Amino acid sequence: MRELARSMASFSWAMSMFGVEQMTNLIAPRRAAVAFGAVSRTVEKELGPGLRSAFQTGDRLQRAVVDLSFGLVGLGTRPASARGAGGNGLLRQVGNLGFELLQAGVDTVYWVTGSVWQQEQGASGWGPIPPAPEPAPEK
Amino acid sequence: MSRPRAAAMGTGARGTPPLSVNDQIDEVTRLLEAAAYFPIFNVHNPSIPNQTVPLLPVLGEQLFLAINVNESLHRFEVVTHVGPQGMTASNRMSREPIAEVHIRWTTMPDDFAPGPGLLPPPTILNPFRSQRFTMLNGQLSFNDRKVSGVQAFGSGRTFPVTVNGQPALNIGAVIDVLSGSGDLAGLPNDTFPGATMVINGFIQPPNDLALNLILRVMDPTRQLAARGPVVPLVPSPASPDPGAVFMFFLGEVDPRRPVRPMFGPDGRPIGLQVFENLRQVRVEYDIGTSASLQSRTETGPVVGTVSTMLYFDFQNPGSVIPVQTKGGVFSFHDPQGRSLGSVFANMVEGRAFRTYLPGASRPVFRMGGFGPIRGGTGALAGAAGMLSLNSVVSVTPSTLSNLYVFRFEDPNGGLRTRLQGFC
Repeated sequence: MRELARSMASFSWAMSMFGVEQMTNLIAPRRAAVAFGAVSRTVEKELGPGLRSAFQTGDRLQRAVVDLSFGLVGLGTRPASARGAGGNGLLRQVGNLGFELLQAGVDTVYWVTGSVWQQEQGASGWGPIPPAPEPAPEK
Repeated sequence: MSRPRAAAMGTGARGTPPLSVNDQIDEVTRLLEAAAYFPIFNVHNPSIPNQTVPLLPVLGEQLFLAINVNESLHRFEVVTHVGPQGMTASNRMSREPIAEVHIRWTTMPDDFAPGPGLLPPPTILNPFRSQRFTMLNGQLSFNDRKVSGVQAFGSGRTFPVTVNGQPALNIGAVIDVLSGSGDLAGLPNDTFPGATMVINGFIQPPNDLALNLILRVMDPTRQLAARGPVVPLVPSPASPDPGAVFMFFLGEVDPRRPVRPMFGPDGRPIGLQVFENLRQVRVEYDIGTSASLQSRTETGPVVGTVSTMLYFDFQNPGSVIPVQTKGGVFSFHDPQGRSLGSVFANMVEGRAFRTYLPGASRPVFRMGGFGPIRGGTGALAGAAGMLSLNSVVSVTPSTLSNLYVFRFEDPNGGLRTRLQGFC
């Protein structure tokens, strides 16, 4: 119990420091985005399969909403997957948000019915492509 | 000629001295290049239409989780030529089908690791974003006398695009052949150590699919090699993919710039820095008139180079290993060395399959992958489309044989005109 309390205190302090650093990073949004992304990925790794699925659904949904919000105020950038897609970027974002909402509903049913806990996975080699590692600096 | 240094020395036959490093590279390269290719183009089969698997029956074809695909497959011929008149490519498909394919094409969550027979969590096809998919219950059957065929499993990714003003999804996929029948019976075995398929094309669900599929069978004993000329293709009057042009090139190690291993900060190998020469290549095959499947690969002059960083953990003991490339630049030139331009493309998703190849001292890796074309220079400025790769790579000794398939989007023929008139 004492270990848990100490860890929680350490976590709170770390998050405070992280928050302070990211406030200063607001003048460099790309750096802040990388840092927040790293935290999200770490949290995701620690979750079990069921909660991870819920986390990812919520995360995708939030991203879609943020993309749409930025698109509405003209601050959006076209996602990499949309290159060459032409057409109306805002329409695509609205459409994507609609599909993400539907998928969130499907995921919720899948989760509530307990199916997620029985879901088998195949060989990890067929899983998502991990980020490319950084090569060692040239000597 | 400089060659990369190999870490391990192979041995010759009993009582003969060990092979030199260069001889090892040449021997393994010969084994890797011994392949039977079967380029295929799909055509909708009206007698057995594709069937969507809807999220709910009342939603019909609007919201669906999978497509049960039943397509006719035609022989596909791509002849790329680089000469004083620039670069040309003719794309033809056979009038008659040569095979059929059945798969369950199923979208899946981004973090899912699929497997043969594993149904992923229900995932709605979203035409507005790039999604992963898996191909279950894959069965490709040739219309030859022995009904040769393969059972296969794979995965891929969609890339939203617009085709003729309509939304569509570019498709890239990698498929591992699990077993074979007819002339391919026993696969994988010493005769056919492995086979890989890659898919490159686009779909407008549920019925409009324009997909190129290339089956590469490792054939070290040349069982499937045509002994003479192959029966010419009788072309269909219809163009297989009028809005695009396909080009094939065969990559081989560049003897002046050896393949180099890359290491992470902890000293662990993380991949290979690869330099290749690209050759013109023409593939023909026949399934109907001879006693067995026959394939013929004819290579031409070097017309380009590739420089890329290939990331994969070749020390991973798994049978399937994720692969990707970064910094990929494909440069093309005519036989006189005049530049035609460059293309930027990376394999954003690929798989390597550890494969035991008789005659090679270490396992080699079959690889398949794909990724969007991200522009270029010269006559290829603004190029878009999809690159796919069907290859075999040996880490020790370092050598490879890579078939590159470019599908350049070219709805009004402007790219083809530029390429012809560039030199």
